Amino acid sequence: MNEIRFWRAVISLLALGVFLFVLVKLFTVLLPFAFGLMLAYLANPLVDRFTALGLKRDRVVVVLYLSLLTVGVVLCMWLIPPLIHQVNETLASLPKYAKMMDDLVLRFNSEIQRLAAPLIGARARSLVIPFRADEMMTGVLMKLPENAASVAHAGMWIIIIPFVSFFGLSRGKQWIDALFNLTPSQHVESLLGFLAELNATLGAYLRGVMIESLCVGLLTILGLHFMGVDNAVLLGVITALVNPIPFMAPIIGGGLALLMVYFQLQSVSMLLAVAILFISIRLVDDFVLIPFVLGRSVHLHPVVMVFSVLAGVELGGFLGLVFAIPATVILKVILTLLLQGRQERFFIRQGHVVT
Amino acid sequence: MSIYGLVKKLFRDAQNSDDLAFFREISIFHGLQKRHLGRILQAMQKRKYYTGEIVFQQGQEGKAVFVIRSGGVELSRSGSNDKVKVLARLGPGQIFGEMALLEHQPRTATARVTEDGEIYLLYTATFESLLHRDPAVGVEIMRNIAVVLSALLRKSNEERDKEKGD
Repeated sequence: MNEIRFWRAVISLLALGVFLFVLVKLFTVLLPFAFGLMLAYLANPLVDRFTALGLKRDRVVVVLYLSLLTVGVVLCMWLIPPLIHQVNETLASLPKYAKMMDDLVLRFNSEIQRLAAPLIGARARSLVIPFRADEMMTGVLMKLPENAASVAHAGMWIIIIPFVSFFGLSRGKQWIDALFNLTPSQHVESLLGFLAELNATLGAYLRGVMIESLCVGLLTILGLHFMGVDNAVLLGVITALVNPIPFMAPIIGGGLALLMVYFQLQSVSMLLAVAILFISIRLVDDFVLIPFVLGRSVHLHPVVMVFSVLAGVELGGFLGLVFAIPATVILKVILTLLLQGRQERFFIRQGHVVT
Repeated sequence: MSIYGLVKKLFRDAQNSDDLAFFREISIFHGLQKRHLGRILQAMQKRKYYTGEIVFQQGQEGKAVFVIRSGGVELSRSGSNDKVKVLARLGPGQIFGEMALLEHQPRTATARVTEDGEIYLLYTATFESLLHRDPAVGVEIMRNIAVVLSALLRKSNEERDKEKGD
């Protein structure tokens, strides 16, 4: 019996290893499919609401797609023109901004050298920030063909993601039922528990983060617009996009907004105002949006969040950064269920009531 | 055909209507509205079971409630002297494992499939969250469970009295 268990464990580990190997090798190919399935998963409760009323699933999905397409077109008509205008404006101003940035770095370097010279003498000349914005821009422009290829690759995503999510949504629970049919009967209850807990935790987290990011983006657009900062829509969209990555919204969104204000207005009071705006949005996010939208769905200690983000960056670069928190949530659900199972089995062995 | 009729024909899911009619007949779901039944149905998974398969074992922790869609299940209990006593033979439309809804205790019986069929599974925590979301439905279901358990208790008392009489 022990030998059977041993070989079963070895085969399971080998299967897991092969699965992870294939996953790593095909990561970029699988990514749009994963995004498509994730979108289907997020939209599923909405479809469920209608099918619970006795409506055909595939028809509901078609109507949902048509509605989303209409909303998307309207949103694009409203959002895309100012966004394109702002991107063009920013691109046209880039050489001017680069020069300003270089001047700023030069001034900073000479100031540091002036202050350090009486202390360390001639060695102060080596104290420079080796940054030149015009060189960085040239580098970016040289890589443009490569970037254009990435954009073309992303273009495929636009086709794959809705296609996958359509089939994911129209099949609904049948995917999960198929998984249950493949699972040995003694593990069915555990799988049911795992999927239900995962759905409750990860589903609430992903839906909450989407709503939270939308709110943060809107608040940023409105705040910057009323302050008279140019490119408010662009900055708001960037802030919303980086918001799901912990700590990145104030760092990237706020940092870009501060740079933009410095380039446009060169006013200290405006810099302060933008900093206060981002701090206020952060506070609203922490004390109003997160408790209200995310509720108690995910209890991750800040230290665990920092660790998982750093580990994500180390393991998977930018994508690791994006997937760090969802992966940690999944890991937490697995560990919680394992520990809970151990505790319950202990109490059952002891003949106690399991609480 | 009217526009309403056409839309109804296009959108109405006949399979779903059958499933809802089936669930309406199950003892613990009596008196529930269609939309509530629909939500419960959506929270359930369905699995094919084959003759001889064990759905759950006596002593194992109970995490789910089961509803037989088709096929048959036998509930049995092993006594201290390893003697197995068959408690019930269940068929389509019958529910088992419902004690897991009320208390987190080990299963008191073993459920074995006696005829190939399909069984719906509902995780107790999901069921509880559905009840919390709509307390009126929760009250109705709990009342139905109380009626079922009361009937079982009465039957058990009658059997005991009968055994004493013999």
